[in-house]
Amino acid sequence: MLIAAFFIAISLLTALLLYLSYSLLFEHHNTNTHIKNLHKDISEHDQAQLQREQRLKQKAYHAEVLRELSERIGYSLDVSKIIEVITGSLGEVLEYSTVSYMIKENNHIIFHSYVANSVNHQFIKEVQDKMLAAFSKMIDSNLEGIYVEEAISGTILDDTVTCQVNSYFNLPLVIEGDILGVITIASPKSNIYNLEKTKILYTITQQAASHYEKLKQVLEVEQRRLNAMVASMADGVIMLDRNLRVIVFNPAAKKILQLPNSSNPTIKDIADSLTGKADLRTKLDEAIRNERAIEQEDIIVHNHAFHLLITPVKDSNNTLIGTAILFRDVTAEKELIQMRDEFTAKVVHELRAPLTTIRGTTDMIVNESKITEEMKKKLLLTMKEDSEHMLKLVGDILDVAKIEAGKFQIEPTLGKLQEEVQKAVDKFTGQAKEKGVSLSAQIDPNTPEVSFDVIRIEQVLNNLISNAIKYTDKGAITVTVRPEANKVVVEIADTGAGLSKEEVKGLFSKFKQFGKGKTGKVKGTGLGLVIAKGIIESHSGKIEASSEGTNKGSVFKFWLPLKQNSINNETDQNIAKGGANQTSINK
Amino acid sequence: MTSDPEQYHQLLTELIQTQMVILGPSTGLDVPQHVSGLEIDSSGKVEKLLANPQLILNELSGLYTEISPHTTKKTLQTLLTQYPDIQKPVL
Repeated sequence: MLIAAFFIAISLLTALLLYLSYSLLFEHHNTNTHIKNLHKDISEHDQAQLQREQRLKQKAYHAEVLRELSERIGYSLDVSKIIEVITGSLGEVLEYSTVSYMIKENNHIIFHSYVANSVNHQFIKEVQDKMLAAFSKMIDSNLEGIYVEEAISGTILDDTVTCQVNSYFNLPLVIEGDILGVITIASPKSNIYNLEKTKILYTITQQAASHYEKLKQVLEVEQRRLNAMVASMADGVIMLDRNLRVIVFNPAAKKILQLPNSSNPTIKDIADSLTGKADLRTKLDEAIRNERAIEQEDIIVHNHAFHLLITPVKDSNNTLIGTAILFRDVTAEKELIQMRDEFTAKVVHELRAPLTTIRGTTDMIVNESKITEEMKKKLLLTMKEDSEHMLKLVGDILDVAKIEAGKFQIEPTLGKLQEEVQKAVDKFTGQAKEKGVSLSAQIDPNTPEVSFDVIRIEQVLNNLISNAIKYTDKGAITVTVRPEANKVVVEIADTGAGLSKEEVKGLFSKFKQFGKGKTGKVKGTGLGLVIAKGIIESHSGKIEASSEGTNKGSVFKFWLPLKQNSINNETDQNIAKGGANQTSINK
Repeated sequence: MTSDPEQYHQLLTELIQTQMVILGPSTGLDVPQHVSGLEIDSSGKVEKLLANPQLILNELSGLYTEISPHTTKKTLQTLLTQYPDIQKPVL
């Protein structure tokens, strides 16, 4: 019994010990598991934290690159600048030893490598070979043996460093479907790049390419506009690059120089065509050397006068990128100056001639004692005529000056234009009859009233009818008045001397007509038509002349608008009109 | 015309190995890791196709295109001429 009890006690004790041990073990295990879980949680938390940090860095890098793309690239289509932006702050998101780019230019390859951490020459060579292999594959062409223009920047290469390319990845640079190059990021460390880390760079590279494409499109549109503008310019424009190659030769330049090889001229062709007129090469050298525009006036090329301007062209960095040559046709200006000089000379002559007569006559009256009263009266009448002619001349010149200055004013009132026409016809009927020419008026009874300055319109009618009589030796002169749409038309048609096309063109030019009034029997200044034009245009009307040709008669027509409002509104504008070329004729 | 599974093996291997040269081995090999049913070795050679090979080709091409659209399309265009029986992936 005792033994049995002992065994039971031992068993119970053992069970208790086992239970306690198990409990302790279980508790210990639980504690361990808990600690492990805690460690795991902390580790996961740290990892998540790191990942978050990494993602934030990537986002910041992404934002920075996009900002730099817009700010730094500006309007430059320089691929290397885009690459610089992409790789500029790469260190924020990736560790690397070298970042390199390779682009194809004409017949060679440009390879640039930025060394962040010192590597040896072999490392660079390895990177270059890998890039060439990638590039060859991309463009499906073997680039082995091609000339590579190499540039290394950053940390100095150190051949004592033992390293080789153990990790790298390539970013193809494709713009508008063209493979332009490749960017390669490399490190001697193994397995440091994975898609998670590098994907953002692929995205950014694509965005940069897209940015470049958009910019290129914008610049191409601008380029087309500029080309169209240069092409449409009346001035001859030639653009040369730094090597004096002709890059722009606009149609006006072709027309001016008339080169045999105008489709693809060289600077030699252009300079040769100007031999004896301008030393283009010397002037180009001078403009480039002194970095300032060079001008040469009055070059005569194919009977036209030109002003030559040679300007060095610089970029935003003040670097010379070429030279612009401009040929401005100054023929018309020269002709105008010549005409003005001639006009002034004529005016002076017209005033001096009667003045000379007056002075001579005065001398005669004063000094000649034997002069009779009858002779004296005759001489005084001549002086009066000369004075009147001078007054008329000065009055006309003043009117023309007012018209040209836009200060010619009219005082329109509503009235019957046909009545003024009839009066003028009646006034000149006798004069016409004396020449054996019939003068009649054809007035449409439906002609409405119109607003006009009676005195000034009378002046116009007198000028046109007297001109018609003056230049018509036989036949008829018909003055017609009729309504037409919103205007009243007055037409003076004669069967007289007529006008050539050239004469019609110069009818309203003071330079061409001044002084011609003296040639006929009726004395005039030749400015009548210029003044008539100014008067009609001040009424918001229009005057024009036409002729079938010499000896085929001529038609002078003017019209005045019916609407009162249009006159009021347009009178101010017409006051400002006048034009330097408006001159008249006293036929 | 039914395409031979071996052709898919070859085409996918060539695609991966070309991309390993163009994009670099890390990227070239990382992308296929994200395609289910595709097993490759470290040289980029396809070992097993455990799903519809056309779907694998579509998915792999799509992933490469995300990274480098132009070069992927160009590579595929060149490779597919050698495998006329294989359907062109929809990208």
